[in-house]
Amino acid sequence: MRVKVIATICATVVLVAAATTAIAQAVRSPKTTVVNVADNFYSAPAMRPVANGTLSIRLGDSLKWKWAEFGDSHDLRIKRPLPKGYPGRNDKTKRAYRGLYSADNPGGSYLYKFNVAGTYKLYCSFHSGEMVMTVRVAK
Amino acid sequence: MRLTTALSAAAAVALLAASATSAAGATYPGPGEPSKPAPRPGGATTLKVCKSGCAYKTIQSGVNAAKSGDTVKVADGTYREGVKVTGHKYDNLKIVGNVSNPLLVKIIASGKANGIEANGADNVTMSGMYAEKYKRNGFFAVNVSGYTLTHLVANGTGQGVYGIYAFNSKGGTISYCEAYYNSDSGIYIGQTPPQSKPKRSIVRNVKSWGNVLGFSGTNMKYVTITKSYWYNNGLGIVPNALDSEKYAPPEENVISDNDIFWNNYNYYAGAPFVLHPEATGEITYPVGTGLLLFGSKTTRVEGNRFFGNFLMGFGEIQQLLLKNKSADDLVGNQVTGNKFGKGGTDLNGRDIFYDGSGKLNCFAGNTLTSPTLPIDGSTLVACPGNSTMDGILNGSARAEALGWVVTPDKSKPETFEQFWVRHTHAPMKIGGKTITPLVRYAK
Repeated sequence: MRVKVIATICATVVLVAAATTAIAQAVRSPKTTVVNVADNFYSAPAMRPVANGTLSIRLGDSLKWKWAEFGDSHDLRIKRPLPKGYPGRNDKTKRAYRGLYSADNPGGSYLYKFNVAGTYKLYCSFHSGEMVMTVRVAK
Repeated sequence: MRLTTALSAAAAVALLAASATSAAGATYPGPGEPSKPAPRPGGATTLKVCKSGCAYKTIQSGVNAAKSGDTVKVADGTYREGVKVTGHKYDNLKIVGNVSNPLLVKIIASGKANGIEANGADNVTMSGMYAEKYKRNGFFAVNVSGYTLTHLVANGTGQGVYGIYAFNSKGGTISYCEAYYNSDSGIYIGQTPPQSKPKRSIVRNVKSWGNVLGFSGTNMKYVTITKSYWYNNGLGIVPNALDSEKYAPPEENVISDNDIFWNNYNYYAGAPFVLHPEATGEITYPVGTGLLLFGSKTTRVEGNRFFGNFLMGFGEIQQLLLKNKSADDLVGNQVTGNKFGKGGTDLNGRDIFYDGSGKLNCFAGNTLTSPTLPIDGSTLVACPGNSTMDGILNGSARAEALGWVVTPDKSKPETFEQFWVRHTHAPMKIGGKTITPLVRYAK
């Protein structure tokens, strides 16, 4: 009898803990992280390294790129391979790239919500090879 | 020339260090590498753009309808747009306005980054147009192999950064252009990819005035600048090595037969353009300079006329803050056959500054009318150079020159003039038009 009670209590605790975790995950509000676009880097406090580095976010989160008012031209493009599930992943035309894309936008911003998990390699076409960033989107 | 990297706070330097680290190993297509464009069946055609009675009422709509090799002919008028020419399907496109009077084809790019931008489209021609109210560049070629930018006028009043600009590109021509009131430089060629068989870029018959820099060349290579007027800028011509862009330092450039004069525009005392933060870093440009090599290799400065630059006519100095130490020094630069001071009628504050750093830098056949720094000229080794002089630094000359850039206080514009040696200017005409000196801007 005593063993049965303890087992019941343990099971209840496990269930409650699991439910709590699930609820916490379910109610987690999507976050928006600002990425600054400047000469010649993308940067955010959470990026590692803080400039032209990698940002890790969760599915459903958004990034908001904010362009400096002054300075050189910078845009935002995505590089192949595209993450699995990305719209038009197997489309070899440029349309596939247009999902996550912004032209140079002095003083402006561009918001993108990440609804597909995976790794995104992004770059500035004006400064390709040096001005890059990676976004890792976890489920 | 972005000064953030070269001259500003440690935080910015750290950010850019991270930038350089992460950039290593990334590979992307270079200029001119992707597939060839499909030509128009039946050959190239001309698409007419005008405000009424044409198939196309905007330059962009004409470009969108064009194919490789076509001509977009733009009639006189005012076009309120920023035009983009993107990708190889537009290779060899010509956008032609009024070559005899570019001011009649006016592009007002309010709120747009560029007047016209060609990105990844090779051998595009832009000619016969005027641009203003752009937030970045008047006319811009980037990631291309070949470009022709001719008979263009770029007015940067407001927020313009560069007037006429070619970046990460191989070979091209900028000619018969005028650029003024740009907050960084009137004309800029930056980040030239190294090439085993270089395509040279030519800048000729241009006028650049009223800018922070008349010409900037960050990490530029294989560029010839000739037969042009560089005047009334903060500094006239500045090839420079910076970490913010790839392929430092500037190399294999030729600057010949130019008039480089009156570059005494103290923009800190007022300007028709916004001084952006990067250009007002903690260490400032030596305003009052005709031509400054801020790190360079194998550059020839020959047969130019330097006069009326109140700080110095010509100077060269190691890029002391470059992280890539193999690229920071002055190597193999030749300064020959230049005339300083307009026969004594329009003197420079100093004709030449060189502290002796680097190696195989040499001077020959220059006509001087003002003192040099060092004043005894001991660092001005005769061409072709003397290896026994390599690395013999004149510390006092360097210290004096560094004082020119660390002493001025941006909140006190007059401090930028404290090291000047002023002289009166002889009258000057360009193309029959009288020009006047610009030191302090007045609306």
